[in-house]
Amino acid sequence: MKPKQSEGDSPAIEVRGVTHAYNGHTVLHDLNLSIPAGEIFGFLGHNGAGKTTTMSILTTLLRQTAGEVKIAGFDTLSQSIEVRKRIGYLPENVTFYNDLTVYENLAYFARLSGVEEIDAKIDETLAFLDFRGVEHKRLKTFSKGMRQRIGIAQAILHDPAVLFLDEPTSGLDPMGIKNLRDIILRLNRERGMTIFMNTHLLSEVGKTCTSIGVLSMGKLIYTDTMEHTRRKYPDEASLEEIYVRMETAETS
Amino acid sequence: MTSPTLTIAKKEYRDSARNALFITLAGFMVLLTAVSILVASFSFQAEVAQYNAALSQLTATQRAGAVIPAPSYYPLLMLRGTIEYLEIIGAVLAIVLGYLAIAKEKGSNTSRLLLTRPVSRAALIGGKVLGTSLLILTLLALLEGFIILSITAIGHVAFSSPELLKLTLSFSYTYFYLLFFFCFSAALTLFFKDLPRALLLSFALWLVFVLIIPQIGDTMDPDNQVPGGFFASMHTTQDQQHAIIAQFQNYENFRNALEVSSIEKHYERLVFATLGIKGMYNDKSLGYIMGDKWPDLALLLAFYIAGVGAAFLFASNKRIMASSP
Amino acid sequence: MSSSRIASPLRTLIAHELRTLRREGTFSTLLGIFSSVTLFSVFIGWSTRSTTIAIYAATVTTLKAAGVSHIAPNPLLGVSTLSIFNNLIIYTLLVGALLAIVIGHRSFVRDRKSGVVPLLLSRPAGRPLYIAGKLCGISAALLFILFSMFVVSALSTLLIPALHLSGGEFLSLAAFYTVSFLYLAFFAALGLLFGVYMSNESLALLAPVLVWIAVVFILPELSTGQNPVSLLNPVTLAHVPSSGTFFSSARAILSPFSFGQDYTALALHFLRISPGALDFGTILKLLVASTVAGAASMFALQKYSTTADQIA
Repeated sequence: MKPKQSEGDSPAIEVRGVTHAYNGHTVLHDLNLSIPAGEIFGFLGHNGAGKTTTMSILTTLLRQTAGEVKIAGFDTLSQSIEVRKRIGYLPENVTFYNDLTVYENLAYFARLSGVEEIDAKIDETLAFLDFRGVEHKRLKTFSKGMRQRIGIAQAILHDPAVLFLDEPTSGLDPMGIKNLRDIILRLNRERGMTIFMNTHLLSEVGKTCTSIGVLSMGKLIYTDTMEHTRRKYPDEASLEEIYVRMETAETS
Repeated sequence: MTSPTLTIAKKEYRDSARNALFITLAGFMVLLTAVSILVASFSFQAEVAQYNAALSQLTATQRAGAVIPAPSYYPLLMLRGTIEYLEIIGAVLAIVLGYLAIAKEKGSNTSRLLLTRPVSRAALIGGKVLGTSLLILTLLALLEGFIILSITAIGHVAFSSPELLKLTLSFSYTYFYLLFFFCFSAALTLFFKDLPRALLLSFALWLVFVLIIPQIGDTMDPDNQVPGGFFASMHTTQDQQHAIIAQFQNYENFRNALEVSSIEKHYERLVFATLGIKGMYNDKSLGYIMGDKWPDLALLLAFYIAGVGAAFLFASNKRIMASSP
Repeated sequence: MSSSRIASPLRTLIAHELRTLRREGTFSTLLGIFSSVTLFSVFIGWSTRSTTIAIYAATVTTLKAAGVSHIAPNPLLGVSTLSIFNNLIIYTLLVGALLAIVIGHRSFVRDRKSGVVPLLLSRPAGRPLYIAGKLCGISAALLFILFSMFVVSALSTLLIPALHLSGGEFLSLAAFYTVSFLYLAFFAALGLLFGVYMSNESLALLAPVLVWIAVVFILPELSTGQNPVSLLNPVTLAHVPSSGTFFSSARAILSPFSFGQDYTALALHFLRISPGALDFGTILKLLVASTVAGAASMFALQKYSTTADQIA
């Protein structure tokens, strides 16, 4: 299964000079970022650094004050519909229509994404997530972990080229976190999806991501591949220590 | 493949129709209709009893030559209370539904899921409006069915086909009226970040449109200021009364201008004429009624379009996602 | 000593309730709506009254010209100036009650949606005190709003010479606003009660609105046979109820719950529109109704489980 094609050989995500101001405060300063297709990109930063604002801009939910964003080669402002056809998005603490069944919820979002063979697609996706048999249950009875899986299902049903995950491990138990990690890796490996993930959990980043970026007070202070990062900081035992060093260097 | 608007409309409809809210509302509207029909039938019964008493008194006093008109039964006239309920309560409930439709999306992040789909905002709002339209039409069809059954059962007289047509037409006017209030409060809820403020203002505007302005005709009528009527207590003749009122034409014009600005007044004039509740239109043909009442229909539709337009206008990403707990 | 300890958390809760009402703009919105409504009804009352007085003068001229020698005195002289506020009865009865419902509803739903209920309930203050704090806070807000309405109406009668009120009439006006408070407090408590009792937010808002419809429309219609719109006409409010056994027996059965009619009767009395003695039993009934609704909210919170929020 191949995800939807990009425009030419353009990077999956390209951010040029993006600035965003809100109520007179600049929350993002001149962001520049290029993520090639096929990466699993971990976007790090403390609370309030501007990660969710960045993700909202990348997913067309928010219009940046200045700068340009292209997803799979399409501009988020002038070609937002084309962008939306190529992205999947899982917000933090996802909610659904509780009175509808899993099938009805998924079919709804699938139709809105232009999926044609709805039943087959839902079946295939639930099988991929190892979550068959819940189709006709209403969502109000579901636990946090189950909802999270439905959240992923709605995000990947239409085979997006780029998948955006906002703090996907938030509130999950260790088993849930492990399952999620496996899903992310398989989506990347088997379906070739580019994944952009906001997260706090540095241990997870170390285990899943192929490249990272660090945002501090609205500025992108670091971005590189995982491999280079480890080489650059040979003295630090864990990613956590690397992150702390970067943040301290930035603030001091 | 169906269009996104249709998909959203279907989902809205299914979600709401299954929701306890809609079932409660539908049940309640049926109850209100039943109460108003019941009250109308008891009032008619009392009228008939009064007539019979008067008649037997006349017969007893041997004045058989004197004729008093017998109260005549028109099934559509039994609906005055029902229409007034739709006017007042229907509007309140439409406001509550409009508020909840937006508050529900604002409070949860399903709106984020929706807004990241390849669907234009117009299709999204269009879907919501269409879904609600279907829901309101279902509710109105349910009420109409209930009215036909209960009035036929109470009066033992079936509706004639012109009567059925008039009834159906009146209910379609009701749809425009109710959807205006739905869109209007949805637009306000989109507009304000603070949810309660939007609801409070919707209710305040309901007060203005449904109560204050339409009531002005009555409460500002000088003749209504004294129990029994001002002119009656002054013992003036009809001609004198007209001559006096003519001197206060500005005041009368002001009253009329206020009335025209309310959607409720146009709805009421239109439906009361169609159903013949307004005496001069009783038993008149639809063509005759429309010839007289088309300005009210035009204004009702204009309000409807303005309401739907406001909902489209205020639906920006920022507004849909902005929320206060 | 112990009383000050108990009073302190209550004061905190009341202050918090008032602060949130102010911050989310509810308070200023309500103050704006109620003040405009008061001014508006004064304007309607005043313009109608002065037009009617002018019409009387015109009528006198017309009748004199027609040679009528005995002309009746101005019938408006028998009507109290307070009656210019007659529209306020309807506005309070209807929209006042709805707004009170919204305040009560929001009071708990706001806490629940922001997830602070478990935090509050795990404090030593206790659940009844939590509700008491909310009820007192809401009451204080309502009292302030009604007091402002009183000031607005009193000032407008002072500023417009044609609307002169006597000292006794001022007292009557104050009494009108006091019974309005009792009526509104009942609906605010009802909004809070359903907010606590029902976990579905939509139904929690709709339920008290349905009670309002029953109290303001259905019960009066069943006991008088009047159509909904004529029940809302302040000029004809003091209507004689419809005859017939159905209506009189319905009236007997429904009267304990007809809070809307009770409020209307009291308001008509205090605004000196309908004659007759004051029925203290009716005031007591409104007072009991508000207290019962408040106590029921406390009871509902005792049964409230915070885990329900996490599932919903």
